[in-house]
Amino acid sequence: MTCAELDTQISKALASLPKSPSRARSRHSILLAALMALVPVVVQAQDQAPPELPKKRSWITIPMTTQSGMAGSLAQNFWRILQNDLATTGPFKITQQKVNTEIPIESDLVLATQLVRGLMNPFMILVRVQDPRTHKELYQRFYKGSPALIRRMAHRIADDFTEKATGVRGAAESQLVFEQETRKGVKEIFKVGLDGKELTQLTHHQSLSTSPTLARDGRLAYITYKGGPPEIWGQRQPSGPQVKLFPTGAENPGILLSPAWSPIGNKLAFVMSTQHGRCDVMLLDLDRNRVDQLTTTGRLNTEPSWDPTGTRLAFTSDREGTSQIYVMQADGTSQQRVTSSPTPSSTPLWSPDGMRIAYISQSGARSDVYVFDLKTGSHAQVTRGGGRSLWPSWSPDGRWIAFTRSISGNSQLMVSDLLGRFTRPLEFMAQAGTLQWCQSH
Amino acid sequence: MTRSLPTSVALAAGFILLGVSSACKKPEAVQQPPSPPLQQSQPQKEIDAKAAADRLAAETARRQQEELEARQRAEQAKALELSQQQALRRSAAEALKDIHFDYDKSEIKAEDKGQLQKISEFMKAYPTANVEIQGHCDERGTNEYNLALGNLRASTTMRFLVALGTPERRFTLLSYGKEKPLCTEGNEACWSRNRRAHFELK
Repeated sequence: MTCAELDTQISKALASLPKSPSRARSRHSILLAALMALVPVVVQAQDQAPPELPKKRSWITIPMTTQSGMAGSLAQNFWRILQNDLATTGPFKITQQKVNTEIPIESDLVLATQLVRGLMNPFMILVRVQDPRTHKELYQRFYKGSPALIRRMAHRIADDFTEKATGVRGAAESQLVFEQETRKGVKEIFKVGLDGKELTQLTHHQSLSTSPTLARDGRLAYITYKGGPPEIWGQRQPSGPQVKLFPTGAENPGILLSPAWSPIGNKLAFVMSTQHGRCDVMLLDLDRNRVDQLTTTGRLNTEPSWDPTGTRLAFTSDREGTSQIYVMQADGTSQQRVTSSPTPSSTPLWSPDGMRIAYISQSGARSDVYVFDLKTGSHAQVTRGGGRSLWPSWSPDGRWIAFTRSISGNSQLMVSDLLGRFTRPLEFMAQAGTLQWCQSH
Repeated sequence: MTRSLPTSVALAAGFILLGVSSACKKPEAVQQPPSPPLQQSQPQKEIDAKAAADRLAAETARRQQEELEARQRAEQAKALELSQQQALRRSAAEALKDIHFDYDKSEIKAEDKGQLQKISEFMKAYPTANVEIQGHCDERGTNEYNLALGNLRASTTMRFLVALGTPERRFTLLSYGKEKPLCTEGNEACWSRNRRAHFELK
């Protein structure tokens, strides 16, 4: 089949869809329908966008055609993964729709996908996105791959589509980097796809290795106790060997915690015990091979988190009594408190867009994830429903927050939108420790 | 009968031995090299040999006695050390009791100062004893935060003991954060037990 023929077929598929009536401008819609897969499905966007993003109620139509002779199960599998990606990582919700029924009134995007296999055996998926009101094609793209790569192709297509539809790239391709006990007393660092596939072990020290942090270019750093006292190990170059980064001499730093790569990855913020049991936020400059102490007041200054520009750090400090969240310039100046709850707050995590800081606030047996909005100065509670929610982590697109919820000793990794209305477990992970949610590398 | 039989066997054996030794002496005498000019008389030689044998026997006995005494001394020392160790352990068990902290705090509470006084007295009574101070936290908060807090609790406790007169070098600090709870119920009664400094004899 030539591209022209394919184009004609797709056009027919799109034309065969019932036209959506006009509707209010503020609403978007996207519909999923599978022509050959027989079960058309409607994707309904949920009103769950972060406060500053445009609120979308999107319905996406995806008519999916397959060339005759293509394995129907392959198409079904691809379509199922794509649908799940859009439903779980974008602001979309899936509902079933029967063939040839009216496109829901809110529809405003049609996503057509077709699996193509030519004579020379290239495997391709053609994606076309159209506004059903204007019949204007928003974009068309070929994805080359193979049946073995069908999962990755679906993730890529979902993230590209989410980016086109919302302006912010989706997180279907993202990964989780985390620590896990492999046997008693031994923890290693792993990474896994958001779909629970492609688990990879990143450290092999046969020791206690914890607190992973990943730079934007994929370089890993972490704390390891392989030599007895804690040390920071990591990669100086992408895909380079893991080497000791701190301490540079043979000294025992006592307590060493929470390493955090700066966004461009030339500096590491971390926590070290300085004197009299104090813990302070330190800054290791790898280019200049120099360490600076950034905090000097209070006794516990911990859990540094970079803003995405690398100019500021959020951290936890007990300098005014109970632990609260503070921010400072990356050189340690202008230290300011941002939370003032009567109960302790800790574990700040700066959002990828730099507009918010997620943190944990404790109250009795509970601890919950909150989000502080730097622009408005407001605090919003994300988790509800009891138990202890710890270790928040932003999705790379800033739409979601992952956290570990513990209820009566059982831990489960959860993902929630910023308003806490859509929360789901990531069944493959019972995480209870540091985790970083990052772009795939 | 039962007693006389071994005796007669021994006598017989002795006789045979005598016979053998006298039989052996003759060829020895024959093979002796020419006597030196100032040759001692035969009886004098026998006296000297006997004296030498006696000296050897006495030496052996003395050595055995010394070894026995050394063994006894070592055993006594060991027993003493054991009893001292037992006393040390007993005293340690009595003195090294946990102290506790308020939530998210590391200050020494007034009610625990007497307890730290006892630990200080123990450290003075046993000047060779070294103690590890472990800082523990309740289950709330992240591991990272609690490791830092446990370290601060251990350090604050040590500084109090140093102020009471024990040199810092006799302490080691270890933070367990929330990794080693004494109980796991999610209530204040359990949390307050877990927020502690624990003392371990090293």
